[in-house]
Amino acid sequence: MLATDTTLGQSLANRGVSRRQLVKFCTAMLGTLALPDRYLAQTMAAVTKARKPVLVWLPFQDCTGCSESMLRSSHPDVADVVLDLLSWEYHEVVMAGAGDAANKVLDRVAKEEKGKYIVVVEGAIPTADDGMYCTIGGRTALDIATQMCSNAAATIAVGACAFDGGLVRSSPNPTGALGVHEAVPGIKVINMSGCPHNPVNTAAVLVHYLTFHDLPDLDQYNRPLFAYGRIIHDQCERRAHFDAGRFVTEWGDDGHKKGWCLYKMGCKGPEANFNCPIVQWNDHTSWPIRAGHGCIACASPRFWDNMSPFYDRLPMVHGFGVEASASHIGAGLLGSALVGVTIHGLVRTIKPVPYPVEAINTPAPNPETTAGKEN
Amino acid sequence: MARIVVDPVSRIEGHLRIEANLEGGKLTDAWSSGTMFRGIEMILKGRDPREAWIWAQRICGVCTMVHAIASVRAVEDALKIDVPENAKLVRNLIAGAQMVQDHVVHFYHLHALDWVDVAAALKADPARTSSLAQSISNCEKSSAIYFKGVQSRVKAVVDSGQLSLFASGYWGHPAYTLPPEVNLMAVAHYLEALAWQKDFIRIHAVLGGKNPHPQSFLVGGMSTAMDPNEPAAVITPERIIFMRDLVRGALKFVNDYYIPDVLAIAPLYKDWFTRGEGLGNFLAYGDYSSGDQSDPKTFLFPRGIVMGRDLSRVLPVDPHKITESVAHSWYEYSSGGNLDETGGKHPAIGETFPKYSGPKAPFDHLDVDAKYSWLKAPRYDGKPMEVGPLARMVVGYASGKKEIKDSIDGVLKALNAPPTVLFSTLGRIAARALESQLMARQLESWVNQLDDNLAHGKTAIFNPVRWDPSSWPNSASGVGFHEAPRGALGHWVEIEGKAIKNYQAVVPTTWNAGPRDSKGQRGAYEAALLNTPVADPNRPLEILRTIHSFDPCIACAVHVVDAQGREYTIPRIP
Amino acid sequence: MHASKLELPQTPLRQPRMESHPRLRVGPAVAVYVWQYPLRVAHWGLVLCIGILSFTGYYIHDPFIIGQSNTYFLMGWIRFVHEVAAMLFMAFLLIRFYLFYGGDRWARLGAMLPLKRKQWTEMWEMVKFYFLVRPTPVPKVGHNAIASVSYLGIYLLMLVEVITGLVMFNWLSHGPVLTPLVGWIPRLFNIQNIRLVHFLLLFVFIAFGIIHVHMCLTVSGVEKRGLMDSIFTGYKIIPVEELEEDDHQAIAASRGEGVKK
Repeated sequence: MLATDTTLGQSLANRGVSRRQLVKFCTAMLGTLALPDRYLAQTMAAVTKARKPVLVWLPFQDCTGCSESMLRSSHPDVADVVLDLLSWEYHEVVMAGAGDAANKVLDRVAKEEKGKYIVVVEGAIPTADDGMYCTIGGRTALDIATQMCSNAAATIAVGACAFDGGLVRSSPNPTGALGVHEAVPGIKVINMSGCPHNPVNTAAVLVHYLTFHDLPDLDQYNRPLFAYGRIIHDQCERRAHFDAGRFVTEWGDDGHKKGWCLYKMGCKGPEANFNCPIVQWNDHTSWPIRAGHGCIACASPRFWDNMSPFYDRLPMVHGFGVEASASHIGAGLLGSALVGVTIHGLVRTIKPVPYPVEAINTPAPNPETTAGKEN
Repeated sequence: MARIVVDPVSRIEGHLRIEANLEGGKLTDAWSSGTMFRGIEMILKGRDPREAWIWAQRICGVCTMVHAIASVRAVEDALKIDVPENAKLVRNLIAGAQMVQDHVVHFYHLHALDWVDVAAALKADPARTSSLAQSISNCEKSSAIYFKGVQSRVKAVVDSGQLSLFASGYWGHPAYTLPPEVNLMAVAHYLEALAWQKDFIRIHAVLGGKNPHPQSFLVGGMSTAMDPNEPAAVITPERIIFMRDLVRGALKFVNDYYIPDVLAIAPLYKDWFTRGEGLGNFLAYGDYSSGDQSDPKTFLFPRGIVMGRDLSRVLPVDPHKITESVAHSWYEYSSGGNLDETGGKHPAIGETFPKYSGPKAPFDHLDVDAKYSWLKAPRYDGKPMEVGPLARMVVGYASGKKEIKDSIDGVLKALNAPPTVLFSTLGRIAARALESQLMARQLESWVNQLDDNLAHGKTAIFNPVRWDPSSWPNSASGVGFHEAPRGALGHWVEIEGKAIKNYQAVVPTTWNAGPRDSKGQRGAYEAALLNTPVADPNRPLEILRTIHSFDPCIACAVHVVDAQGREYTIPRIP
Repeated sequence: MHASKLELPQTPLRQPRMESHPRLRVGPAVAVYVWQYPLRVAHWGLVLCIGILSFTGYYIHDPFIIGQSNTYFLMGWIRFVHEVAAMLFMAFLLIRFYLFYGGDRWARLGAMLPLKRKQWTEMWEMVKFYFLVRPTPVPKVGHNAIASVSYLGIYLLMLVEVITGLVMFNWLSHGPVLTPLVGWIPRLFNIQNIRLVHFLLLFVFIAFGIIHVHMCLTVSGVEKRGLMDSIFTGYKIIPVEELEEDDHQAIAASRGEGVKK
C-alpha cells in the first residue's frame, strides 16, 4: 500500500493542477517566508519531487481552536495541505478512523517513518498526578507525546497551550500543564504561538520544511523570525494615530469610530510580537484591532498571566489588600510624601524645638573620639 | 458478552471514550467518559469580569464564541447592563453564522464519513452521479466533468498509497450501503464544504477580527464601531455589502448542498430512523431574539422542555431545578450542604475538587461501577435531558412555532414519516440541517437591520455606564444563557470586590455526554447507544454514527468550579 | 593624627561672614568647596531630566492630551523627548557614578556607605533630629548619614529605571548593542512587570524629590551652614572646630596642597 513512489508533483498533475498554478502557490509561499525569488526553483523542485511526508497532529489539553484555525487555511488551501502537500495521517478532529484503528496509526508511523515524519502538537500536556488529566486510548498525553515527538524529524507546537502551557497553565495551573518543549525535553521543536496559531504561518513553516528539510530562523523562544520577529505596534494600521496622540478613550466614542489607536483601552500591541497585522486572519479579511478591540498579545510567552488584565495598560499590583492599579499606588505614594512633609513642616513651625545656642554645634557622640576628648 | 472500547472517538471536539457491552450483536449497556480536564473555572477566579469572556471563550475553539456570548451575558446580567440594539444584532449575526458554519462542518467533515465510503466513490459513474446531483439540487457544480475531476483527485490519493486522513477508516464495512454515485457526490461535497466553510466564516473576521476566537465582545456591547461615513469604522456600508454576500452564499450553500444531501442520504439508511433514540427528554433555553433578549417570546428558537417524547406539552424552564451530580465523575464535593435528592448541586453554588480515582495509565478498561469521567452529570429536576438541535426543533415544534413547524412538517411529508422518527440518530441529523436552513434565512434580516440602523445614523453599539469598575456594586451575580450549535448553554458568575469570585458553566455536551448520576440514570449518549446493533466489534461504526449525531464537544463539557462558592444565593433568573 | 586636626588652613577661601550671625558663636570658619562642579552639574542635570522624564513618561503611560490633528505628532514628540532625556539622564548618572570613585572625600562611595559604627550612631541621631527630638542635625561637611544612605538607594533605583527603560527601548528597536546587554532580561521578568516597575519608580522619584527638598530646607534653616546655597555654589561655610580630620585632608587636597603632618 505504501510502496508506490508517486510524487507530489504527479499527484498535483493528476488532479489537474497546472504548472502555472503550482508556480503561483510556490511564489506565495516564498512571499510569506520572505525568501528571494531565486528559491522558487528549489521550492518547486521540493514540492514536485518529494514523496509526501507523513504528518501526525496530536491534540492534548486543547480547545481544538488550532485545528479549526488550520481548517481555515487558504494559501495553501486546506484540502491541498491535507491531501496533496502532506500525508496527514492522524488528526482526531477530522480523521476517518477511531479507537484502535486510530491508535494503530500512531504506532505504525512511529515505527515505519521513524525520524522522517512531522508531529504537530496542539494543547498543553498535563504532568500533575501522573498526567491523568488527559488520556487517549488509555495512555497519557505525556506518554504519547514522548513516543511520537522523540521519533519525529521535527515537532511543531501550534498555539499558546502547546507553546508554553497557555491558558491551561495559567495560575493556579490546576493540572500541572506544560508546553511541549518543557514536557518532552530534548526534542527539536518549533513553536507557533498564538491563540490560536495563524495557519498562514504554520503552512509557511511546513512548506519551508518540505523545501529545505530544515526549519526557518528562530527567535529565542524557537519561534520563526518571519512571523514573530517584530512587535504588532510597529506593523499596526493604527500606528499613525498613536504617534499623533489620537486615542480611543471610551468604547464607541468618536475616536473609536474613526479607527484611532486603542492604546488607552489596554491594547497590548506594543508588547506583542506577531505578524498579525500583516498576514491577518481568514484569508486576509481582518484582525482583532481592525475589529475595534485591543490586542491581547496572544503570541507572547505566558500571555494569559503576563498580559492580563487585558483592559489595563499595566498589571495589577498584589499585596495591598485588594488589587491596586499602578496609578493608584503612585498617587498614594505622592500623597503620603506631601502629607508627610506638610505635617513635619507644620509641627516644626507650630512647636519649634527650643534649641540653646550652645547646642548648635554639639557633634554626635563619637565612640571613637570621645575617649580622647579630655585632651 | 464482549466489551467494546472506542477511545479516541475521533471526528469530534475533545477527548471522548466510549465503553459498551455487546451481547447477541446488540449493545446492552454503554458508558461515556470524557478523558481530559483543564479547570478553566478555577483559573477564572480573581480575574476581571470584563475580560472573563476572553478566557471562557477558550473553553472551546470549535464552538468558538458561544462561551464568549454566554459569559458577557452573565456579567451584563450581574451588573444590570442594557446592551444597544446594534450590539444584539452583531452578536446574533456572529452566533448565527457560527451555527450554520458549525453544522455544515459537522455534517460533512465530522459525520459524513460514518455514512459515506470514500473508497467506494471510485466505482461511481460520473455521468450518473451528475444526473443524480441535478435531480436533487440546483447546485451549479454538478456536471459529469466536475465529478470526474473529483474522482480522479480521490483516485490519485488512493493510488499514492498515502491516504492521509482517510487512511484509518472502516472502508468496506457492511454498514456502508450507499450506491457508489451517492458516495462520489458526498465526497465532492465534502471538499466543497471544506472550501465554503473557510470562506463563509470570514463574517467572523469582519465582526470579530478572526476565527476561531473572535475578539470583539465587550461587557456592555461590541467593539465593532459603526459609522456610515468613516472608512476606518468596523461596520461600514462596504462591510455590510460584503456580509450580505456571505450570508446569501450561506443560504445558497445550505439549500443547494446541505439540505439535498441530507434528504438524499437519509432515506437510504431508513433503519437509523428507529435507532439511537435515547432519553426522549429535551431541554432548550431558547435564543436569538431580534428584540428584547430578556423576553423568551421573541426568540427564534423557543424556550421549553419536552418530557418523555410528549409533543403535546411544553413545560416551562426553571433554571433553579438544574443540578450537577458527581457520583460517577472524578470529583469530590465538600461535605454536606445543598445536595438535592440526586446528590447534585445547583451550578450557582457548584463547587468541586478534581480527584482522579480511575485506573493508572496505560489501562484497558475503566471501572464503570465507580467514577469514570471528567464530565459531571447535569440533571433537570433530577432527570437527564438531551439538548442540541433536535431539542430545539422538538421544543419549537411542540410550541407550535410556525417557521419550525412548517419546516419539520415539510420534511416529514417528503419522507412520508410520522414525527416520532425525529427521536433517532437520523432525526438529530435532520434537525441540525433544518435548523441551519432556518438560521441561514434569518441571517440576512439581521444584516439588513444593521444596514438600516447604519443608514439612519443609529450607531450606538456600546453602553458605557458600567464599564468603570467603580460603578459596580460590591457584589453581584448573574447568569447568561445561549443556544449554542450543540445546545443549551448557561454561564453563572459571582462578582465580588470587582473580581470574579465564582464561575461555572453548564455546557451542552455535559448534558449529553455526562455519565450516570447517583441514581444510576444514564446520560443521553449512554441511553442512545442501547440496543444499537453492531456488525463487527472490531470496527464499531454503528457506535460512531449515534455518538456523532450528537456532535460531541468534550473540551466544553469538562468543568470544575472553585471550592469557595458555597454560600452564594442562587442568582436572579431572567 | 590628632596633630593635623589642630592645624588650621592657612587662608580661608573666602572671608567668613559668620561673626555677623547672631546665633553663631564667634570663631574661625572656612568656606569649604564641598560639591565639585561635575557633581552639581550631575545633580541639576538629573533634576531636569527627572522632571522631563516624569511628565513625558506619565503621558506615555496615560496619554491625557488627545491630539486633534494628524500634524501634531504628539505622542511621537513626547516619546522622542522622553528618549533623548533618558540618554541625558544616563549621562548625568554616569558622571555621578564616576564621582563615587573619582570624586572628592564627600562624594566618594566610601563616605556614603554606612560601614562604620560611627555612621550608624549618626544615623540614629539624625532620626532623632527628623522626629524633632534632637534640636539640631549632626554637624557634617558632606552628606549626613541618613542622606547618604537614601541617596545611594535612589541611585540604585535610578539604575533599575535605566535598565528597565533600556529593556523597553530594545523591545522596540532590537539593536545589535543592546540586545546582548539587556535582551535576556524579558525572559526572566516578563515585559509587563518591567513596565510596571519602570512606571512605579516615577512616583518614588517624585516622592523622594519632595522629601529631599523639604529636608534640605529644614536642615539648612537650622544649621545655617549654607546648605541650600551649596548646591548652587559648591561652598558651605563650616566652623573650623566642626571639621573632621578627613575634612582637613580633603580641603588641603582641593587646594593642591599635600597633607600636612
